[in-house]
Amino acid sequence: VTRAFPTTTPCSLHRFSFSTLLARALPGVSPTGACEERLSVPESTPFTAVLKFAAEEFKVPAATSAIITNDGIGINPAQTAGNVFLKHGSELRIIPRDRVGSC
Amino acid sequence: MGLPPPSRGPARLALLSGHYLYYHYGCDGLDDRGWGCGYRTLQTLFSWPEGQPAGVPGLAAVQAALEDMGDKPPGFRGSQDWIGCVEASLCLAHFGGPQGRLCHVPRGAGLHRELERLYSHFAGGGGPVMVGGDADARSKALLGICIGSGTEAYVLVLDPHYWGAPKSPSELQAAGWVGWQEVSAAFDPNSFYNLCLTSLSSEQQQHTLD
Repeated sequence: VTRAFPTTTPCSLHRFSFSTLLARALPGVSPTGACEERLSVPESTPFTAVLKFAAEEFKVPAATSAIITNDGIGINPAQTAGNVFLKHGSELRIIPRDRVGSC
Repeated sequence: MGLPPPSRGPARLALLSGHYLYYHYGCDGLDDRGWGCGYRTLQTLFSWPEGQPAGVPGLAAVQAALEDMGDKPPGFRGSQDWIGCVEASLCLAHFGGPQGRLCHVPRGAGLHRELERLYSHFAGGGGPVMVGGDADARSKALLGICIGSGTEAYVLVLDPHYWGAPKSPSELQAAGWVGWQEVSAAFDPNSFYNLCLTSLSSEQQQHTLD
């Protein structure tokens, strides 16, 4: 989870990067790094857990948030972190979900 | 389209390429007033660029897909739960429709920051853009943009909230269900917005080349 974004970053748009560990399993997700926080997760981790952790880090509700790539591709959270990493890379954003329906 | 341009002075105007169908409340016999406008805008996106109903999923199919892909919990299908641009982009990918890229506009920022992006989108052959917010919970589709001098800017808005018998394009224009709106009036500064910008998927581009 990248904390080193400038204070002018709009509060509803947060960027983070994550990587997956292919060789060894960790007991859980954990932030690593010094200058830039990165989220390292086991490959098989459900991406819903990544979403939940990122939401907690940025203090936004996971249930009404979504993760997208930097170029705007929506990511279905119902897959493994490894799948997401392979398909979309590691530079991601968490955004609030819009919901529309009123007349 | 038959609509006069909104700006009297010099302006840059870009409209979507291709064709689309206008989906709105009740257009297929399902009474979705009060909850279906996001689904109807999504259906409009699916109809692009052919402007044909083939390949456009119904509301039930959209809900089934979201539940089956795991984005929504069991029980979502058959509900009157709202969706937004994130769900729209997932469904476009799931059903093989146009590609839908998401763009987030923070609360208070307004769409003025995104005007050049929208102009490039339409000028570059892009399709309709779904718009959804939080404080502004009325779904809409953008079909074009007109950028005048200074801060003058307009968007061509397709409103899915129409309920009634089918109307001709000129009747819909006259009644305001499709028309140019000033950007500052069309968007609520108290709302954040997500945009879902459609473009030809790689499969659709290949089909065009074949």
